[in-house]
Amino acid sequence: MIYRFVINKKGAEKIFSIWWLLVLAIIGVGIIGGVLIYYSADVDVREIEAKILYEKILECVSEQNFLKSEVFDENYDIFESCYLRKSLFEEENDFYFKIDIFQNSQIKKSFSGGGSGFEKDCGIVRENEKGEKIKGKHFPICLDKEEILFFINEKGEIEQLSLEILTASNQIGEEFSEI
Amino acid sequence: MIKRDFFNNKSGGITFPTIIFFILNLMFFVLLMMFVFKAPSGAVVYEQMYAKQIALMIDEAKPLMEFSISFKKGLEIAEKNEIDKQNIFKIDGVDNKVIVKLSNSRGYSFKYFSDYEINYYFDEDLLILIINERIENDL
Repeated sequence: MIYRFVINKKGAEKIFSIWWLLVLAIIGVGIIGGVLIYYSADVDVREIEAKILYEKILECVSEQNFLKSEVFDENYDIFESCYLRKSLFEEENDFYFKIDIFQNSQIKKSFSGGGSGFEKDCGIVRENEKGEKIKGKHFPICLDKEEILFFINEKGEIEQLSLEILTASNQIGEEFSEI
Repeated sequence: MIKRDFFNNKSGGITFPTIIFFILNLMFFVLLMMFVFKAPSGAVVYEQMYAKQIALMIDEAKPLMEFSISFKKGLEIAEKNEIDKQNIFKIDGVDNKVIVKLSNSRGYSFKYFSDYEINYYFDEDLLILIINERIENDL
C-alpha cells in the first residue's frame, strides 16, 4: 500500500526518484569521508619539538647571555648536561641537533646528536636564495638560528662568541595494537 | 507555483509521500549530523592528543617539576570501552615513550627526547606527573 503511494503516484515520482537517493548518497559519502580523513590525520608537532629542543640546548649551555665555561671542557657531555637521552639520538632517526661555536669566524667547538642525514635534509628544506621553501612529507622540520653570547676566557677577558644551533624533528608518532 | 506543487495535492492538503519524504530526509541529515558531531570525541583523536601533549610537556619540563593534566575525557572514553584504568596511560622509560590506550583495538605512542625519571599517578580525573633527574643513567 505504502509502496504504491511512494512509487506510483505521479507527484511522488518527482520526489522519490533514484536521482534524489543518489544525491543523498553523494552528500553522505562526501561528508563522512571528509570527517574521517580530517580526524584520522596526524597532528604535526615536529615544529614545536624542534623549538623545544633548541630552547633546551640554548638554556643549558648559556646563562644570562654568557656561555658556560664547562662547555669547553674536554669531558663535557652535552647529553647529560641538557638532560637529553643519548641512545634516542644515536639509535633512532627522530631527533637531531648540532651546535657550532664560532670565535672570530673560526669554529671553536662543535657538538651534534642524531643521524647525519638530518643536516643534509635540513639544508634541502631550508629556504633557498629565491625564497622558495621545499616541502616534503618525510623531510624533517628544522630550526636553524644564530645566537651571540659572551664568554670569560682564562685571562678574565670578555670575548664574543657566535653559536649556530640547528635542531630538527621528524617524529610522526605511532599507532599500535597492544600495550 | 513551486510551493503549490510541493505542499498541495489536488484536494489542497499535504500528501502522504511528501510527509514520508520529509521524515526520511530529516532522518538522513540527523544521522549525518550525529556522526559529524560524534567523530571528534573518538578514542583515536584523544589518544593522539594526550600522547603528544604529555610528551611535549615532559620535554619542556625541568627536573623537580610536577604538573597535572585533566584526563577526564580520556577516562570517560576508556570507561565506555571497558579499559582498565591502569592500562590507559603508561610511560616507557626505556624507549622514552608516552603510551595512551583508550580503546581495545589499538593505542598511540609518542616519544620524548628528555632523559628524566618520571613518576605518575591518577588523582581522580587528573593525571599527575613528577619529573626527576635520572639517578642511574645506564640506558
